[in-house]
Amino acid sequence: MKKIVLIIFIIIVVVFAFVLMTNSQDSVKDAINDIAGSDTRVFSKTCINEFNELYAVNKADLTQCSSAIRAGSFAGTEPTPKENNVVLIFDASGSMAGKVGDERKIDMAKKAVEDFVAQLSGTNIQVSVVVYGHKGDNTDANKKASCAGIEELYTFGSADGAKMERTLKSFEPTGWTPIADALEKAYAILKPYNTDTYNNSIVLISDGIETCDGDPVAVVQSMEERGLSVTANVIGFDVDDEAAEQLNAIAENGNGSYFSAASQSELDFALQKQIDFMKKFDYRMQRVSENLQDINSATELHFGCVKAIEVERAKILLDIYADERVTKECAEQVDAMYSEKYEEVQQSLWNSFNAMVKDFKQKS
Amino acid sequence: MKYLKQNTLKLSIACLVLVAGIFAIQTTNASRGVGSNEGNVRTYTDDRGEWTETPTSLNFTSDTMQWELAPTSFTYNDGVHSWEETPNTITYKGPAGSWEQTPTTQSFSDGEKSMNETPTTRSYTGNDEDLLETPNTREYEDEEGSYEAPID
Repeated sequence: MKKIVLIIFIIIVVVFAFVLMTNSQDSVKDAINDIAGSDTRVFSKTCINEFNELYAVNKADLTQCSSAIRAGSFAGTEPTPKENNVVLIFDASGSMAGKVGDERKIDMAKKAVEDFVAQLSGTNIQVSVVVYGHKGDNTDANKKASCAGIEELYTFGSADGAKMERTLKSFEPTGWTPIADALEKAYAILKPYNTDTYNNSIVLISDGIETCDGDPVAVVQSMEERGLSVTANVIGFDVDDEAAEQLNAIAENGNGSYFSAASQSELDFALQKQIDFMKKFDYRMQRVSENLQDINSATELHFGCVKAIEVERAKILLDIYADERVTKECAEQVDAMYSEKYEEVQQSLWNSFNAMVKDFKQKS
Repeated sequence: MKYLKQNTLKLSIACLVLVAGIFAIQTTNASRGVGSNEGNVRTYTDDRGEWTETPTSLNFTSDTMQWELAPTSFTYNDGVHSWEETPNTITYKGPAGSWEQTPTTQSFSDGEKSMNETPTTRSYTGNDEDLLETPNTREYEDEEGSYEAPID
């Protein structure tokens, strides 16, 4: 009997002592939970009060940490390139009736343009076709009429394969080669489209030099002076050295590229490259630039959070151990939990950051 | 009751021992390092590293990581990632490459690709492409050829 009474008494004393030494840990939990997650450890009431004082003074602003931890991936940017405007200047002078192999040059050029326009269908590329040399004939008597016969046969607009096919069937090569005036015509078509929004380019397909006394090099040189930057690319189709030299000079002074074509496949390739390069440049440059801005911002956010957490922990540890602002037993308890939570948060931050950087590398 | 009265002293001693034991458990391993506060410098060192606070800086040093917070800068280096933040420049270096940002420029390099952007010039090299944009021109080159165009 006396043993039973003794055991009951001891149990009562132990419970009483435990209740005295512990209390609700809610306030400490709330403070720590701001850093990461809940914790089931139990702190004394004294420790709670001591830590709350420290925490109130040293608490960092961790609002950005939520965003940094949640980032976890890098969306990347898919830029919208500038719209492209292309005026094709089509040589229908008499010499285009000549043949490369068994096929007339005019037919090969028409086929290349037809295929080219078909590829532009559904894009934001606006196209126009200006034709020269299809009026009159190549006699001196009809030179003036032929040189003046420059027409926009495919009106500037979206690419329509069927409409283009009809356009290309509507003319035949007969006359002279007014390249300079055709370039002026192309310039007038592009003039309304400013280069902040549009890439404006001219693609001249010709098998010979200017024969209407104009100066095509001077025309392309003057375009920028007159207020509009235009790229003048030139495809010399089955040309001799003299023609190649002049056509190359047009491209060079028109800030464009010169392509020499002597076959159907080379003609197709040269035309396709005009658009490919424009699109590639805009897309790549814009994408890289915007991705870099994004990764810089994300990195700043990440290290802003790292800094906040490190500084908060440092100040609390210095208060605890350098200034001995809490009892030793409380210091040990708080430090243990704080360190554990600190490690959890840091790990989450770095997991998120590393995943984001990996995405950035793949998308840039 | 008669028993309790006869053994009051013994029971009291037993209770004191129990309570003292509980306190002892609570205070075991009370401190893990050495801290000091001398003048304006506070330090604390344990097996995790060393924290030092002066009137103008706060820093941490361990075998694997160092960081320092100064009035206008923060530097961080954990052996894998490094970060430097000043009023005008933020720089990151890590296994994936390095990037830097100022109020008017940004750059990136990872050994295979690089990008530099200033208020007047942008250049990119990578993925078998070379791009250059200046106030007067745009240049693009890849394995298929090159392209050059003016800009306003």
